[in-house]
Amino acid sequence: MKPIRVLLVDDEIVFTNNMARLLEHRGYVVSAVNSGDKALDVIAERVFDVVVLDLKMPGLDGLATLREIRDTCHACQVLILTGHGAVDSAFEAMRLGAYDYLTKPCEIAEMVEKIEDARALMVEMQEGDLDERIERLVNAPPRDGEES
Amino acid sequence: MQIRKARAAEVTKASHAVAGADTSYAWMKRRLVLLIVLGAVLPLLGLGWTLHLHHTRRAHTRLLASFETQLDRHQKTIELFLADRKARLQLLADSHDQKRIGEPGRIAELLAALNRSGWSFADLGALDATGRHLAYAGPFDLLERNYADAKWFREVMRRGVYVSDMFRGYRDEPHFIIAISRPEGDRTWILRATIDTESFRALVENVRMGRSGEVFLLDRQARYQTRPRFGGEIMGPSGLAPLADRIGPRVAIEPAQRDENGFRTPRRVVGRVWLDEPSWLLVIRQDYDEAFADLVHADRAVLVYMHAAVLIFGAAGLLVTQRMLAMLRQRDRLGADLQRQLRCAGKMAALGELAAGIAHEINNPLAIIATERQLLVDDLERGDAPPDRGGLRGALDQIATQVARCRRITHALLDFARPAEVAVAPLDLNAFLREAVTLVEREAHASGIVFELELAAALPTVHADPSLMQQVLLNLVNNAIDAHGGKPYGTVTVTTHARPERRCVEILITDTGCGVAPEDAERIFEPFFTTKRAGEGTGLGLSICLGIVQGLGGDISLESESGRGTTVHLLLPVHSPAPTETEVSS
Repeated sequence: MKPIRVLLVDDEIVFTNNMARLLEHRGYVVSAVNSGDKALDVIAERVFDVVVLDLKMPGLDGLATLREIRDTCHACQVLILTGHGAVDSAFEAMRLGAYDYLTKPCEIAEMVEKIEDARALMVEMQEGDLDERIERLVNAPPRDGEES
Repeated sequence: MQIRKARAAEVTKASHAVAGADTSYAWMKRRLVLLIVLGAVLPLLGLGWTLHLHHTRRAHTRLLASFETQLDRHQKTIELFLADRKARLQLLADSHDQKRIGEPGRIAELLAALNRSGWSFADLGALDATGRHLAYAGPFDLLERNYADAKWFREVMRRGVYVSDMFRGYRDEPHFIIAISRPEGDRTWILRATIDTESFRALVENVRMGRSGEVFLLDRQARYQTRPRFGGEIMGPSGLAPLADRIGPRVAIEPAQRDENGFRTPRRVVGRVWLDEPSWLLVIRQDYDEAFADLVHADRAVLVYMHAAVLIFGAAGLLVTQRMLAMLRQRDRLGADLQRQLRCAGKMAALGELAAGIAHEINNPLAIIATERQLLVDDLERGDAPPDRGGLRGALDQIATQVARCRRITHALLDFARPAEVAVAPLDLNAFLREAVTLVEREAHASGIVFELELAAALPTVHADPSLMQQVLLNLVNNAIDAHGGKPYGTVTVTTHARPERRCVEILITDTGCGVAPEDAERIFEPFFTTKRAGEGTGLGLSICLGIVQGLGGDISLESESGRGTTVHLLLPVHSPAPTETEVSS
């Protein structure tokens, strides 16, 4: 199975560095950026399976970044990471299309579990996508020119 | 600190509100009472008095007119009486000559004939030109008397007809006479009759009025010619000065006065008129209170009713005012209770937000510590390569850094709750503002906001606590920046100028941001009121600023146009009073 490509977005540089190393230890391909704008730049260039996104950042904040990601990249899953005590904005993020959220500080196991969930979801969606394509091919009307 | 201060400010504000409400109730009461007095009591009084005065004047005029009529009628009666007596004597004189009148018994017959239609002549005499009696009929023995020297004799010889004043004469009794001179060829003789004093008096006093009315006659020397009803004798002095021809209005009201003996004469209505011949003054007078009894009574009743009505109106008005104010006060109290409950609820919500913000600040370092630990755990569990000393050291240092960060936050929180020493010091406001703006300028510049400073030269020094002032200014300037809410450009203008007429320095902070909606502007200084999104503002900033500035004796107000921008006016007194109790304790 292809390794999962993870993008960490958080303004805490030490946190993203540490978390990147931890995830790499666990076999993920990890990139880390420290602002919403940079995240969008990186996403435009490369493909990620899961984006771990902090909500409270200076400049383009988590929710705004999430909106942009939803507009430009349909395939990747977004996992919200928040240090905010109130979960209101996390719920708001899920309404906008994030698939789950985590509160800081979190155990690495928890993080891994959520990422795996995201992958499972992604696979399911792709398979659904595949099934749909196969179905379309099977049910496609015979091409006119083939028999003649 | 800020929370405490906010509470203190709020308590102060609440007590101000209560005191303000009390004075405003008193003010309202004064206004309402004034309105009742102006709107009801005064017009009522005015109307009452106008009607009363009008009615009094008319009744007065009518009564005086009737008094005058009475005076006229009486004058006519007396003049007619005297004219009639003169005419009778004239007739007798004309129908006799000196010889015939001197016939024995003739004069007595004539006296009887004169008195046949009513007793009015006391005696009758005929005299020759030397003053000797030719004949005499009457109760006195006057036949031998010579009248050549009598005043009346001289007068009648001169005038032809004469009515005397009262005099005593030979009979030594007050009486008056009518004398007619009768020229007969080269001789002249005189017919003289005495008018009976009692019957004349009865005639004069015929119009006695009420209990206090009196009628009398005065001669020119102001001596009584008839006996007055109350005190005084015929020919006695009336106490008045000798009378002139002109005597003023026929009917007048004399004010109450004291005579020389200290007797008080009441206010009186007096009618006076000169008789034709003799020149006597007819006087009719009556106590005012009696003459105008009906009017006075009616007046009193009207005045009593009117003032009673005014009192009732006034009392009813006051009662209604009290009742209305009580209702208003109760409604206000309910409103204030509701307000308090709302504020309490709002405060709890805001505290929740504050807690959430603090949690965020603490959770970030905790998350880093957790990842450092996990990295170490990973290294240990892999076991193949023991962690190098440098890496271990780095991890521990990082943990220490994050712990220090947490400590900073908790200490800041403790500072937040610790009472602050207020240190008021002279402050160069312009330098201070430049410094404060420098602090935020860089961050603001990144979001496209430009600062403009228009600082007045030679600004008076203000007295304030620099750290508190910095808090106020940063708060206001940050608000001005936040007002642009993501707009990529904008200007924040900070202006200072002296306001010597208010002994103040004014700072204006003008932004080109979103402005404040009118309904928000009313509440913007309330603690925990915020228009920012959840988690972004505690709603304490402006209320804390207001508390601080009011503590310095200044004021903050706000002027805003929705969508165009806001100007905050900050007034600071040049000579700041000593910090108030709330400021020190907060």
